[in-house]
Amino acid sequence: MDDRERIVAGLVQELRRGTLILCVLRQLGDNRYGYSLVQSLEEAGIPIDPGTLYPLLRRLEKQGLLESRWELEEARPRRYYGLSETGAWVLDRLTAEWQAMVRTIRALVDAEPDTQPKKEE
Amino acid sequence: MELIDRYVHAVIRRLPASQRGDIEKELRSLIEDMRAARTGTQAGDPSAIVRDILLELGPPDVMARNYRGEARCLVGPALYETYWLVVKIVALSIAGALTLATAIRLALDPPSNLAETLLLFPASVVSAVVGAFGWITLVFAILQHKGVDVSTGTEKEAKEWNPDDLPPVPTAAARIRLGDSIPGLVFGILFLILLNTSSHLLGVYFFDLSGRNFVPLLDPDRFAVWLPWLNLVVALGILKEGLKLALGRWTLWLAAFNAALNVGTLVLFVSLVQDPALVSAAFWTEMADRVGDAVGELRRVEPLLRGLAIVGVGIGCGIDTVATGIKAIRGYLERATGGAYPGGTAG
Repeated sequence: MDDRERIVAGLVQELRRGTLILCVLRQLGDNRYGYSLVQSLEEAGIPIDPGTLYPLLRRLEKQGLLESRWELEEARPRRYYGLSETGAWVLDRLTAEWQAMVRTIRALVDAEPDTQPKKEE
Repeated sequence: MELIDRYVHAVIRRLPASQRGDIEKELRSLIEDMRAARTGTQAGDPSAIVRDILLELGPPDVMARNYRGEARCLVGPALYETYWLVVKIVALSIAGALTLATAIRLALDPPSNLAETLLLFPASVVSAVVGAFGWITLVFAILQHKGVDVSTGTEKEAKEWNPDDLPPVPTAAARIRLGDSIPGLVFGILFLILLNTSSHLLGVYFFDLSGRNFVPLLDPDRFAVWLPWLNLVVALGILKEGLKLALGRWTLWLAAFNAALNVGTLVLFVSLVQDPALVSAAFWTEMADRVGDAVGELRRVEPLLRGLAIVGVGIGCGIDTVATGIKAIRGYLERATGGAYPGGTAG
């Protein structure tokens, strides 16, 4: 049973990893700093480690999807991220792809499930 | 906070120098934010809160790995197959050459401390193999670091790959298996080592009451003249085996190379065998001293023996050239008519 749970946990993690960038980009409508993203994603039911999110934000910036600048706030510097023009365009496309994918997969998942395990009689 | 300094340092020291300053600033900012979020809700002593935060951030090496984005490795998956093949071939060759050299040395010149030599032998093999392993690994680690791709060009082909280009499965005759070239490679490297280190050990050995006596066959000065040519031919032979390994089948070019190499080998062999100065002058006189008339007989049939050797090697080279040529031509025809073979588009 433990093994099965582990397999499920691993597969769920794969699913989440695939959708994470979409979630992050969608949260960046207005400029945000890293930790506020961690908090809002967690509130939205998508817990994410800062150790995953911060490097991800850097990578997205390197790809040109995000722009960042340091701002001094409450006497300490914070890096604010926002969508670049490219990022906004990519987000639009990605959102459309996601919605198409959701429709397709929902049709598959909602169809009469074929979940009868094959058992030796 | 000292603990924060230690954590940040532990992360950034694992990162490229160019990113350290920025990531340090980012990490400190993050920790401050997490602290601010907690001091609002969580009572307790500040150092306990920092510990809690650092625990949540996870081990610094994992954090650094996330920032680097890719797993670091000495030799990555793209190079690994080639790397491992080279390691195996070289290790096998070195171990074989050392074993043979030690065996010959022990047979010719048994040391007084035989047990010690035998005990030290495994250690010397291990240290030589480990040394070679280290050098190969170093070379491949540099290739990995520089991002060099030493694969056989399959990635380039993949861009405009077309299923019709798939070569037909070679018939058993045209295919070169791994096992066909490994012995040739190992033997070639071994021969190269012996040729350059142990040619003076070639000769006739007498075991009589006076102990071991040795009459060297070759004239060392004359042999030195031939050695570069021998080295060239053996090295080309090793190259040929390497090409066989890389290509996996007999192509026309490979067969042509093989034919040229066979001709070269034959020419060199004929010249070697017919060079009277190659056999040291002392050889015949000393042999005559020791075995008397038999040597005279031997000298009389010597031209015949030389002729026979040349004919034997000539036939061997000829058969090999023709056989590989046939394999290559058959393979070529198969490729040329690939579409007409079963499994192709037409029947």
